Amino acid sequence: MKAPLMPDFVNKMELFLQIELKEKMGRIFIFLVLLFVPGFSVKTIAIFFLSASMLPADIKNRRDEALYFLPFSRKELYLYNLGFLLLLVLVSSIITQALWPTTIAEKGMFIIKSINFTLAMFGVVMLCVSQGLDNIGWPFIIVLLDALLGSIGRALINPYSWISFTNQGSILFAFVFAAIICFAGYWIYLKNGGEL
Amino acid sequence: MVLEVKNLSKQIRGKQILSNVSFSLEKGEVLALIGPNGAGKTTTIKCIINALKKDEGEVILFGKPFANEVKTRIAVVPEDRKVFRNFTAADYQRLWQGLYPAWNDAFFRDFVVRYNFNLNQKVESYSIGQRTLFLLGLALSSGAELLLLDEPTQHLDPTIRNEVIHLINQYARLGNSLLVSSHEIFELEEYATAFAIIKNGKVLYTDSIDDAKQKHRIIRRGESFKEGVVVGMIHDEILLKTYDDVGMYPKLNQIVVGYLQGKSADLILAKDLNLN
Repeated sequence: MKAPLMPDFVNKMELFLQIELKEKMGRIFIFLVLLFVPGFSVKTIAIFFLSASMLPADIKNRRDEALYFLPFSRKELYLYNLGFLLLLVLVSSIITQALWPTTIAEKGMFIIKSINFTLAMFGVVMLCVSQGLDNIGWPFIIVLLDALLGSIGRALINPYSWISFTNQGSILFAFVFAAIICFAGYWIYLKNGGEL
Repeated sequence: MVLEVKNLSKQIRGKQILSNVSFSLEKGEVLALIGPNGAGKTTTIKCIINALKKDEGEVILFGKPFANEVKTRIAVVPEDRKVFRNFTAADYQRLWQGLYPAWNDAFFRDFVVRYNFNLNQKVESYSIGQRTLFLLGLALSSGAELLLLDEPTQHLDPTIRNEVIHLINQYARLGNSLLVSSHEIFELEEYATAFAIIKNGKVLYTDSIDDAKQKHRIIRRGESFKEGVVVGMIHDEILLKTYDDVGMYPKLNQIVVGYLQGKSADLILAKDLNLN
């Protein structure tokens, strides 16, 4: 009999990611390549589809139950997923920005904007699927609405443009708003699953 | 007590699937959750492991209300036998080994050899019977103190079914507990020590098999009795809950059928005979 392995946080995260990567390797690889394109717009598209392809896709396709039968909690699944996404976005942003001829401030801004968008996007997709909506269509409408509302008028007379996760008029306010959306997605997902 | 389910209720899309379901499972016990298709057995199992949020009631595992931490002490064989699409048997072995601290790799390797599983083959490509057996192998290798097995003998051929029943008994003898949902009432006595009959989301009766037999009798239609409650009809016989020494002791499947069948109009006649 083999010595028992203690399923700690890192070990379980690794196991969860093995499942996700093995199940969705093709999709994840394509979006991963897109993440390395330096422009912010292309990156947002990659983040959008990556967010939608992981746990939200399992929930939408009712394949998440297989995960709940195993020793995973919803809290862990959410955090592993978000952690993995943030890691991918951060690493790809650092690599692309290191190779791109921009100032340090611009590089930093790009990385933070990417992180903000990831937080908001994952939260939005999780909110949608937790409400029984799909993982692509509704989130896409919400992104469009956010972009539309954020681009109306000048920044001074449109406070939404400061917090909009597509516009990010103010990096700090946009971060707070993105974090709130992300937390809302987490809260609703756990609440619906009886973990809160 | 390993598992205590108290007044569990669940509604899905407006339909009451479970209504005040209560039963308990002791250490080393095999409890059969018996009922027809759609009775609520699978929903009960899903609510116990929190794969599905319960509406009301309590699930107490190992003496404490359900917490995610206990999931490493519970292994499940789900009814739909859904597996990860690209996972080979070897991937499953690594996954379960990493998730279950008490994983018994020697047992798993013996199991794989005995039933001739190809570890490099995707589990989804197995036949439904092979998949059932493979998932059972994982559960039995997990070292979990509580197994929740949803229709574990369904899709298995008779020889393997007997072997699985033997393995279930062996696992329970190690001090582990098993909750087995089934509608195969004729094989229950081979592995179960206790049972709960569930119909339309309600537990009609729960007891140990020995006690249940003591508390019930089978009488012929028209036969009179002094004390007791008529439970239901079994063809031309009547299942009676009584301590009176009348009729015959029932078999487990007769008790189950009696409860599931319930009282029919014919029984009114039998009830009248009670007065004679």
